[in-house]
Amino acid sequence: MTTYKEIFGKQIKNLSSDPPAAISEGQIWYNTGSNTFKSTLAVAAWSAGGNLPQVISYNSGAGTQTAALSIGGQAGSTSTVENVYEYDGSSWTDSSAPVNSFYGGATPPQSAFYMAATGTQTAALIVGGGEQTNVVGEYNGSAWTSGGSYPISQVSQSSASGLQTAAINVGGYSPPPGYAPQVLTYNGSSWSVSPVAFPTPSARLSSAGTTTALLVSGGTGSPGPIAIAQEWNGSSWTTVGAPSTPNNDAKSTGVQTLALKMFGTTGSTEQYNGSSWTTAPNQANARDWCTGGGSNDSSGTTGVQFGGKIGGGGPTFTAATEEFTTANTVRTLTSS
Amino acid sequence: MELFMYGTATNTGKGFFTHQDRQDFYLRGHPGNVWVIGKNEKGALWLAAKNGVTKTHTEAQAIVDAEITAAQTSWDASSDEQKAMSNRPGPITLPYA
Repeated sequence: MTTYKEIFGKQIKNLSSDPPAAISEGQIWYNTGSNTFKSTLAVAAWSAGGNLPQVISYNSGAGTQTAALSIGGQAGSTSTVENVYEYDGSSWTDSSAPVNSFYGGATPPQSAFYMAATGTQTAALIVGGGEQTNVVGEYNGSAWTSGGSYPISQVSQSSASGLQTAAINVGGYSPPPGYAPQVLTYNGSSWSVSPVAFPTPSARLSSAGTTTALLVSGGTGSPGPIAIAQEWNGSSWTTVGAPSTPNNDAKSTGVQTLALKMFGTTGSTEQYNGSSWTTAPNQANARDWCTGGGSNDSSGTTGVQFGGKIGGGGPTFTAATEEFTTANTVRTLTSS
Repeated sequence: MELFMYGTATNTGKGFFTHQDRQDFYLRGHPGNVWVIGKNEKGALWLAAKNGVTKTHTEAQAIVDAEITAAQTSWDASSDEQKAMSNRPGPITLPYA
């Protein structure tokens, strides 16, 4: 029988106690106390984060897992939320900078929900929203100001990625025929419309990345949910491997070559490595409207989801927050 | 052998369930603060530690059904504009095994 030493060139160490998980990823040893083989594996999972101060759905999210923003939304079928909440990785606080002023000024007056959002907690950008508006708002960590004039009359439920000063906005609902095919970029003061259209006009889609390296997947268009994923290199689109299910209402975070897609109605999670998708652990709370309430982390290994309607097509607005992390974990090895 | 247990518990936020909990047992939240929990020692200890109340599958399903019925009634009474924002809440069947 081939031995471990013959394969790897060294024997398995005998240890009386487990080494710290933080420094032993990939190691294998024999624990002489428990008489078991053990190893440290990097294990991903969702855990509970601090609850939002109120139940919210149809909100928008920006920032990262430890510095996120929840912007606007609805607290029930008729009550709107104007609050902007800031997350520090543990709890949410009201920013005291409500976002409703943009939408009160829209014609007709509308509510602050269904926006696309991107950027950071101290430099965020929102686009469109309401039933349909052309709102562009910039947040600096303490106050909102109007951004550069949006070149399309109305949009909602689109997707935005990148930074406040280098953002890309794709898809969404727009005036008839209904789904926006435009690809727009923003430099912090003005918008540019790409001559190359988004090939599968849709809303409630998710994106991750930058203005020149973007991953877009899912969404709902005509005639229904869209399965495929597409990469944008700044000038053209390429269809790439599709996630396992054509869910809309997802939020993506990370970059084009390492993205995390957090689905809504099933709570499922998938990671993209630039060429293929793999399944990651589910959230504990399946929830509708993940499109909005999520972060824009810089890698596909962390993310945070907040708000939505719990139950996966269920009825209950939720304040629940969940955090996706990968942690080194000592595991006992078995033959099964 | 039964795979799941059921209970109600209020999500208190950070730490309510941990990264380790998610590795130790199945956990899925549903309307009405209903939780479906993998039936093992760690799952049972988690529910107890959260001051949860154990329910039978039938009791848990009834709580979820009541939440959905109330939401459907609310949805049916909403305006067309509001209805356009979301689908009518559909049934949720808790796993039973």
